[in-house]
Amino acid sequence: MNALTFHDVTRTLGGRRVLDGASGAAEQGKVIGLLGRNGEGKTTLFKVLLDLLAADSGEVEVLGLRPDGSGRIRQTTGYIPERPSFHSFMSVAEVLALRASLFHKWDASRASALCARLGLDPATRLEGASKGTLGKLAWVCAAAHDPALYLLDEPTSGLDALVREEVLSGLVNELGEAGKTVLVTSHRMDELAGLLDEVWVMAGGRIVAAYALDALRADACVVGGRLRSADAPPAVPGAIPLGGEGLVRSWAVLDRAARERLLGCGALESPSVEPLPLDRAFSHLLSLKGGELR
Amino acid sequence: MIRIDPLSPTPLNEQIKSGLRGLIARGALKPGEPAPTIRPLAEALKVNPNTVARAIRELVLEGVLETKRGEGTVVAAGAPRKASDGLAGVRDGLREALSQARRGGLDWDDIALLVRRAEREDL
Repeated sequence: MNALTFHDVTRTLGGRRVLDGASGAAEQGKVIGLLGRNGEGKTTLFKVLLDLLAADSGEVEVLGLRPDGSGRIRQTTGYIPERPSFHSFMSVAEVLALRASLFHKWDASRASALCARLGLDPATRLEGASKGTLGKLAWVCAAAHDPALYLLDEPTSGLDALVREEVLSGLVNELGEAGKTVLVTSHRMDELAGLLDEVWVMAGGRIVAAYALDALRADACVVGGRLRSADAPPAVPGAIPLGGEGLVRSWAVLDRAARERLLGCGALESPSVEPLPLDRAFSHLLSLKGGELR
Repeated sequence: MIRIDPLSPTPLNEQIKSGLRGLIARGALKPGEPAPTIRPLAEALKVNPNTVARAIRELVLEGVLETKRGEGTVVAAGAPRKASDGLAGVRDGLREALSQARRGGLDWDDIALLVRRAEREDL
């Protein structure tokens, strides 16, 4: 069963097609990392999925609901926005009370437990509060109504190592409860690498590639070798040229089929294959534009 | 406690399994003692609890851990030997790698250098 699906979604903002035919489907219970550079449409996709922003065209279904501007999707989703903002004249307790009045399924005892876990004192005033305090509060606000789906936009950005650690542990703890689906963006995918089931790559307003993380872990590699002739090096779909010197060249390859194509194309003498650590595979994925893979 | 590298090409559940086998082989976890529980271990390692659950399930199937009524999952009676058998495999693999390195033209000094570098990087 899918927790969310979106098909051919477009949205123009300020004359620019921020979402340009984005399609994807997240199976219930999966943790998916959404990888992409700034400005590729991740935050806008989140807002469309949350029904905070209407798509110009395309289909969206989240937890069996279609966006209709009613706020029903927002009620069932745990969301951390890219820049969490709270009324600075309030205290943590006042923010939580306000949220409790907005979310039908708000669980005050769960909120208190989350605060205690993170060491967030409800009496803290938000005026002049640290980023760490705001980051913890954003997590409590996302999780207190026990949502079945989390949309987390840079949940650890700007937080110091200790707070990041606590927020990540909170997320791991949530995953222990069966069936929770997570879509998360981060510029620090390395720290999420142990949690993810899949990574999706977003570029130019669409999902341009998707990988099961186990497969990426096992199959991502660097293929190197000596070209048999000085003619142009082979252009193999899915093989990302890393350059080289003279006849010795190398490629980053992220899936088995592309590796077989490159090794089987006959252009390389004495090829070598070395595993590629995930963080470097992520960097290559970040540099993808639409249509480069497969 | 055990350590894993979430970026390594080795599957995470395999890393967790060899970490737990290592604890047992060293005697840090003894037969009859409770195995680490899924959630705290997942939180400590920052990995998906499903992955930890799978590692523990597989160790139960391999007879390194066993599920006891009322006690949950504990270290099995024969586990230290089984865990060390795993190490024998590692030793064989290392011997094979060394002889391959010798055949490939590395001398013992080169190999010692590689070992020291690996030690520095604390692989």
